[in-house]
Amino acid sequence: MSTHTVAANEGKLWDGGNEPFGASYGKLMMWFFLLSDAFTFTALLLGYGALRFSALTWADPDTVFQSAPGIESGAPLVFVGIMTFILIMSSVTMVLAVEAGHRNSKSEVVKWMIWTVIGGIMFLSCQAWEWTHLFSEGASITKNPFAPELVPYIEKFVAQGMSHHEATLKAVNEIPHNYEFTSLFFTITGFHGFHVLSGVVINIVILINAIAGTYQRRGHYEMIEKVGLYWHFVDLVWVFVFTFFYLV
Amino acid sequence: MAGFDTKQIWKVFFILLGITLVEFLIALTPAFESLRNDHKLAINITYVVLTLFKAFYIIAYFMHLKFERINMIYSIALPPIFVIYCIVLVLYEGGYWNSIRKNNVVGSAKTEQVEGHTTPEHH
Repeated sequence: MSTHTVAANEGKLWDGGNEPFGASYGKLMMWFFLLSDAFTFTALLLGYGALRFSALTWADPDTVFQSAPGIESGAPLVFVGIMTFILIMSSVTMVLAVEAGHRNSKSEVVKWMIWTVIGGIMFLSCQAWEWTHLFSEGASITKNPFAPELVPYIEKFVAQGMSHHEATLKAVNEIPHNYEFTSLFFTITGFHGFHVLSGVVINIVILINAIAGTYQRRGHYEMIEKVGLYWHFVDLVWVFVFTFFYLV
Repeated sequence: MAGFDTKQIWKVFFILLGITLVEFLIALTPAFESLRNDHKLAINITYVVLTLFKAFYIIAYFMHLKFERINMIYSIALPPIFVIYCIVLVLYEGGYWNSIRKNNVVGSAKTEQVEGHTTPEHH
């Protein structure tokens, strides 16, 4: 472990092996990777902010996100609330795994890692449902059925005898409109969802290693801590996505 | 290792949950309806402040940054502060684009009235 190398190089400050940040090389690099990843998300959210501030019309999140499985409408933010709870919860189980790792308790690490993986998969399933539902309403990366300027056209088509659903699909396909909202929504939640997917895969790898006793033999569970940093970062990004897409 | 005990972890969890519930309360309670419509900017700033609080608790406690050495805290925490400054600038610029777009829509009638003075108003 790192303490070993530190001892070997004691007194020779410029010969390497020191830890000026008091953190191992791997942990430090994970932090700097996350910093760069944060800049990537910042770029996306910057674009979102600039476009939203400059847009003349914007979709109302309370009407866009008002469905949940079994509830067609009238439940604004309920489903995304559940998703947020799941992700925060899986962050907690992750930090409990890290805590168990500090006590070298293999069984507890395995238990909490399993819960974290389950939480990640649940979140991804929720997102899959949400996307599917939005697609069924006619939304896509270049089509925005929630654009306020489409409302008069939808009403016109409904007056011609179409159902509301058909009228929306017709309007979204035929009338030019501002689709920045859906375009940015699918890009940013998609990019975040891809991070969650990577996180779940990495968590599963780490879980297998923990079960196999790799970290027990190594004498420490620092790997759980590094992966934990990534997982918390995914949760952190969601906190911002939640605010800027669902609340504001 | 400092800062990692189960009691503290659950405390932070309940803080995060509480802040999220407050956000939902502001977004959904009928009592806040008029406030949401008339003071949209103030409500949005409240959301952002609450979000930054959540971010602080996740980074400081879950990611354990609060208990790292001071040089590490600064090298991680300072760059995002400049990023926040950049975000404010870009949002300001977005507001300016908005004024140009509005001008274009209100458009041609105005242009005829004031010939040669079609530049959008400056902030």
